[in-house]
Parts: sequence; C-alpha cells; structure tokens
Amino acid sequence: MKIAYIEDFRHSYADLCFFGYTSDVMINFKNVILPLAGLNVFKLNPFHLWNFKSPQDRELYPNQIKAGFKQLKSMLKRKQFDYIIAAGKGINIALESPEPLIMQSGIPYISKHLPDSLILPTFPGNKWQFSDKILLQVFKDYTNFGEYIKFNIRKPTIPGEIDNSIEISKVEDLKDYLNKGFDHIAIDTEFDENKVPFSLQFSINGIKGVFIHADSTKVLTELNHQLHKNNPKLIIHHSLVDLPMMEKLGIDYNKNIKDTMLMAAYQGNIPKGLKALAYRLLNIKMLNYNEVVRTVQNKLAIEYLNKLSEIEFPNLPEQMIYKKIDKNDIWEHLAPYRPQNLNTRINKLIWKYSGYPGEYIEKDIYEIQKKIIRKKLNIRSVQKKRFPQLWKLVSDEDTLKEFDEQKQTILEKYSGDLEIDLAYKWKIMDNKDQAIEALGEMPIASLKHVDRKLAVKYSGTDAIVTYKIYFFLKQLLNNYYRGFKNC
Amino acid sequence: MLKQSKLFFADIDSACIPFINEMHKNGILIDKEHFKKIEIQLLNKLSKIQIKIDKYCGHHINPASSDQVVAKLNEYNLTSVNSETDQITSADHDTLSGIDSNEFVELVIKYKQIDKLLSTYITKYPALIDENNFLHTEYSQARVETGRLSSARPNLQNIPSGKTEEGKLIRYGFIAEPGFDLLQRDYSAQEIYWTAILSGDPTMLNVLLSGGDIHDNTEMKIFGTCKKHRKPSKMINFGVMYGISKYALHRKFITEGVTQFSQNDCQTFIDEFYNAYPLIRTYIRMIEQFIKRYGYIQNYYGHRRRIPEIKLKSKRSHASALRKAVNYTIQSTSAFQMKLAMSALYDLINSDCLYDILKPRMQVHDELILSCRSSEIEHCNQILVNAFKNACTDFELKFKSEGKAGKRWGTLKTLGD
Repeated sequence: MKIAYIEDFRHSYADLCFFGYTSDVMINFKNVILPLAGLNVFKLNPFHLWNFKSPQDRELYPNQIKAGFKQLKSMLKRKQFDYIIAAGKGINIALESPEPLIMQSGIPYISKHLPDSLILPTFPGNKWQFSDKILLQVFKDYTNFGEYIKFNIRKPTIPGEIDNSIEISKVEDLKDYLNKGFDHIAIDTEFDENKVPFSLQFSINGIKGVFIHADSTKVLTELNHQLHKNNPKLIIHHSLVDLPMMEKLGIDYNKNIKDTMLMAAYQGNIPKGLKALAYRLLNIKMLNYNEVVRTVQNKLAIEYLNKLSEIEFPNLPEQMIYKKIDKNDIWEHLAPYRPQNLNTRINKLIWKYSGYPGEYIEKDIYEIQKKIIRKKLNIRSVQKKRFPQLWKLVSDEDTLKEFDEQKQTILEKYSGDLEIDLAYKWKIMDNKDQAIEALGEMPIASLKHVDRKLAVKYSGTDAIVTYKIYFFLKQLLNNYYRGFKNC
Repeated sequence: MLKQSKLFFADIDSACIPFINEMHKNGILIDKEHFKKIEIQLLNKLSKIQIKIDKYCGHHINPASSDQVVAKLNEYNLTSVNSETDQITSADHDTLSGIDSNEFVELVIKYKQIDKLLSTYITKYPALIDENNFLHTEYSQARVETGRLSSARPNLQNIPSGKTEEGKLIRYGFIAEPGFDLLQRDYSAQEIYWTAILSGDPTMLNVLLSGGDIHDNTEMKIFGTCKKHRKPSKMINFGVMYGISKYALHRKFITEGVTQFSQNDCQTFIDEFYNAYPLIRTYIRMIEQFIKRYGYIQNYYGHRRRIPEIKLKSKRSHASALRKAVNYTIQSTSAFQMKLAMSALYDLINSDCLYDILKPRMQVHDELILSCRSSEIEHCNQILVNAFKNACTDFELKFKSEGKAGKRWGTLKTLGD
C-alpha cells in the first residue's frame, strides 16, 4: 500500500505551505515544504498581502522550498499512491476544488488530477490525530495504519436528508408526545429578517423533530410548562440567537444550557456551523435555507423586477474616478465613467432567469458596432463621444450581419436559469437607488412563504441534528478535555 | 505544572449565557442628540481640514485614499522611521506617525482620526438603535479563541479607552434611562494579579499582598525613581509579562512618545524586569515546555487553545507562538473570571428578584456596565462588589474591583466599596 500524507500549515495567510510525507515500502521518507503556487490565491490570501510567486515572498522559507505545487501534483501522479491523506483545507483546495461541504465532510473523493488515488480529506481536527503517533504508524506499521484508515475514515456514502418531522398544533398532541418525560431537549427557532419568530422546533430523542408554529401559542405555553416540569438539559446551537426568540415565543426556560456551537469552538479545529458539523461528523446533508426559500424568493423577485422594467429610468450621472497612469503609481487626472442604465441591468437580470427575448437593446447595438470598428481598423479606443467620425464607417448591413453572428452567443449567455438566486444578484448590484425610490426594497421571502411541509422538514431537521451533534461533540470533547464527562 | 482550578470552563460558559442574553435584550440607552451634535461638529472640522489639505497640495486630494496620500508623501520625498523601505508604501497610522513633523502629514492624521470616529461610532450607533433609542449589540462567546466575549453589530469592544478624548466623547453618549443610574465595575489590575498568581513570583505577590503598586515597584527597581517614569514602567510591565522583544518594546516606546531610550536600553530593562521578578521567566519557560509537548495551552479554568505554530522551525514563528500562549493564559483566565462574576450576578438578580432594579447593560473590555434604580445605588453596588469578590476565592491574594456610577458613561464617579 502506498500512502502520501500532505498537510498544509497555516497560522496566518502569510504562512501557508505544505508538508508532505510520502511513504511506502519502496520509497524512503521525504519531507517537502511547498509554497503556494497555482492555487486559488483569493481564497487563501484574500487581502493579497503576499504574492507567493514572487521571489521576495518565497524568501520567507529560504531553506525549505523544494518545489512548486505543480511539481507536487505531478509527483503524486507519478507515484500512483493508493491513498493520499490531505490534511487541511489548503491542500484539499489544491488537489481539487470540491464544494465546501464536501471539503468539510472528511469523506474520501477522487481528484480529477489524480485518478489513481483515493484522497482522504482530513482537517485540522484530524490533523492532530495524525501527528506524531499516527505518523509513526504511517512510516513503521502499514498494516495497523490500514486498519486505522478502515475504522477512522468513513467510506463515501450518499448523504441522506432526514425527513422525520411532524407539526403539532394541539395541546393534547403535545402532552401525549411528551408524556414519558425527557432529560435532554434540543430546541431551535426560525425567524425572519426582522427577527419575528416563525416557529420553534424541538427534538427529545434525535430521531423525530417536532415543529410548532409561532401562532400555536397554547402549544408553546404547554411546552414551557413541560420544560419547567422535566427540568431537562437544553441543547441549542448558538444559544445567544435562539434564547431571545424563545422568549418572544413565551419560553422562559433558560437553565442547563448546552450550546453546541460553543462545544465546537472548544474543540478548536472543526467548523462551528450546524450544517457543516452535521455533514462532517454525522454524514447528514442538511437543506440549505437559501435552497428552501429560493423558488419562492425568485417568484417575488421576478414580479418586482418586471414591475421595475416597465419604468423608464434616466441615465445615471457620470462619475469621476481616479486612474493610475504608470508603474510608479502616479495618479492622473480624474477619468470619467458612466454607470450602465438601470433598465439595461434589470433586463439582463430578468433574462438570466427567464431567458433572452431575442430583441437587441441599444447597449448591445453599441457594443456590436464597437466590435466592427475595432475589427476594421485594428484600434482599441473607439469611444463614440471622442471619435464620432469612426462611427460613420459602420453601415446598418454590417451591424445586422454581426447581430446574426452574435445572436447565438447572446442567447446562450441569457438562456434562463431557474436556479439563479435573483435576490442575491440584486443585493450585490450597485447604483440601484432609483429603483428603491420607485418601488421600495425587493421583498424578501422567508419560511412563511414556503410550503408548510417543506418548512416543517427543514426546521425539524435542525432540531434533530442539534440533538445528535451534542452527544457526538461530547464524546469528541471527552477525548480532549477530561472534564466533559460530568458536563 | 500549570495551576488548575476545580471549576470547569464549560460550566462557567454555560452559566453566564442567561446574563449575556439579558445584556443583549436590554441594550443601552443612547443620547441621539449628543451624537447628532458631535457629527455636525466633526463634519465641519473635516471640511476645514480638507480645505487646508487641498490648499497645501495645490489641488483636490482625498485624504482617506491611502494610494493618493502615499503618492503625495513620496512626491514630497518624506520618509518614515516606521517604514521598512526608503519609499513610503502605506498610509497607516504607524507609518504616518513615524514621519518628521510635516503639516500635510499632521492634517492627514487628524483627518483620518476624525473620519474613523465618524464612520465607526458617531454615525453608526444612532443608525442601529431601536424605537426606544436603545442600542443592542450581539455578543458571541465562540468567536475569540481566548474565550473573551466579542460583540458585533455594532462592535462595542473597539470603543477607545475612557482615558482618551475620543473615548470620553463617545462614552458621553451612553446614558442611563430616567430614574436609573449607570453602574460600572471592573477588576483593578486584573491581568497583573493573574500574572502574579499563575507565575507564583514572590516579589510580585508580596507587593500586591501588601497593597502596593506593581508599576511603582518596577519603576523603583529599573529606574530607581518614584512616579517619574511611570509610563515606561507600565509599558515594560505589560510588555515583558507577555514576552516582548527589545525591538518591539523600543517601537512601543516611540509610538507612545517615549523617545529617550535606545534598543539596548530596552534589552537592559527586560533583563532587569526578569531579575526583579525571576519566576516570570520560569513561568514563560514552563509554558514553552507545555506547548512544545502538547501542542496547546490551557488557562486556569482548563479552557484550551491550540498553538500549532510552535512546531514551525523559524525563530520568529516560535517566538510569536510563545507570546500568544503566555498572553492567552492571562487574558483568557481574566475573561473567565469576569464570566464567573457575571453568572454570580445573574444568580443574585434572580434570587432577589431584582429584575426591575438592576439591569445588565453591556460588557466592554473588562468593564461590566449595568443600570440600577437611582434610589438603590448603594444596595446594587454592594451586590456587584460581592459578585466580583466571590468570583475567585482560591488564593490568598484577593482581587480588587473598582466601581463607578453616574448618569452618563463618560462621566461616572468612583464609588467606595
């Protein structure tokens, strides 16, 4: 069995490098530290403080740098390892850029760059488990290490969604459900952007989730009564957010709080988010809030945008921006810049969702004519304002011809994507004050707009997972802190 | 062996959640008019400075744009002692304060200070208040690795110290509701007390037990004077306690306007500090051994922080890891002691049904701020004194706390115990 163990080591954005340990019966131990090269620099070095490709920055590790990341990849490919233990986020991004959830899961995957190897992603939580003692196993005792892999790294499974939640809206039903008593209860709340609670969901066994709508005040009062009667341990993920909501819903029980987010923070090297924890520790893929509300949100958004598109907005005023003119960072005069008209941007957003209607707008005509001039004269600066004589060279025939050639590209560009998050696209759009003045803010969808069954399923899962994760984390923390036995 | 309490940090954290929730829920009353008045004053000041800058440069320049300021500084051939290269590449406060007196630089520094005040505090707070003019911050226990509370939306932990002019100006806008007074309490010299306790240094412990001042003692031992070199002595105490290097100490001196000492002097001060308090060095070595062996460090209450960079080979990373670890043990222990005081206070409020008399408002740095009915100040102050006193009674050395009360946070007056 051939194994490679590679970890990235980072205590600040500047200090990212990779330690590689490769081992098998044929190859001797090697230790390489590699600089960041060929990676998604933005993710790992978001402030662009360091350029790892520059010689000055490489001098940070003058004696250790052996090769760039490309060399590491080719080395790994050449050696055809059976397993590559990729410890750390950096090395996982380097080997493959999987979805963030998969990154956090610890579930093996095969990289498109390294088809012969099974990559076992481990993260700082496991990194320290692999250090020292485990590395000794890697180098000295392959059989035991194989066993270790067998028992400690889970096989790829299809992440399942839990759909085992019910809604209770009658006091009698709740009494029946809780009649045997309980010593642990996981509670979670859902609320909208104005912090108005929508529901409370709980789980007393980690199997079933119970959903109570905010309007069922009698049921909530009964739950509060049951909590005081049973005096259970109250498991909450991020209690400082949920406790105020619980109070708004009439639940004033705040004793014996066990906050799973705090527990994850105590471990110090695992994610703190519930969904990431569930996927990584329990192999449960939970529904994302955005996915749940997106369909409804997009409907609200497209109605809003369609209304906006009927209004004719004036052109935005020209803005002045500074411009750098030479390498010595000398600042030139202010350069004029005209932001795109709001109607154009709204139309483009609508087309991205519902598809391109096939009619060109003025802006496209301008762009196409610009292209024709550039092609004809082989020059870059063709601004209509500065060089109006150039625009006389373009005939309508040429424009139409170019249109037909470009049509397919534009149609593809705006082919309509129902999965697109219109609310997010709108949120990040700048210079939209005119639209907000005309129609107000875009309406935001929340769980109350969603089909109740879906809302129950989504919310109930949160409570179930919180319950399960508490016991998992307790066990995990018990290995790290002895005191957790009595917690 | 590192000292260890019988109390377990996770229990402390859980116990203080309801208190933090109360602080979040109650919020603190803001004097909107005060912030509005200040905003107008500062905006006027800004425009005057802008005119002066434009006049100095001969054309319009945006002092908030670091690129434009850097280009201008290089055009004037200015150099900064805090810049690593001959050419100035950054327009941050450190670089600008290292430039010899120049009108343009002074104006830019002033502009930036006022701009930051405006954008971070003065205009932000009134925009975030609720319909009753209360400001509610969001606390988190899981964001900071030391276990300290952090706050966001708005961040109240970054309000400048109450000793500075800016700090006073901002604090003046935080007020008590009608019929109530603000009651503030914090531990005096908490970190020094914990250093003495955790290191077990006899000199330090004796000074504190006899009610002496550690800064005076350090000044006497290093400079042989009394109250003449208090500022550098204080900086030496807080710096060396956390393993500061001579370069960093020298730099700190210059930033704070203490310019008469060289780097060699700084090394002498560090050595003399360790001679005066020998067990501090032993304590730092003990921590070094601990993190090398285990890869983490823990505070008095058992909370741990992983320090993986201790395994890096470079000296710089190693020293930084050690500083982080020493800093952690003291700061984190102090934070958990404050949490203990908070949970004790919550129990007292609960058991005596004081919900309408004593209301938790906020926790900033190491200060705990509550509001209490004006007629009940003495009673409430006594409750606070007891909660603070009983938060840690494991040692012969007793922690001291200081209380203040008043209508505005900026003008609180000291209370007796």
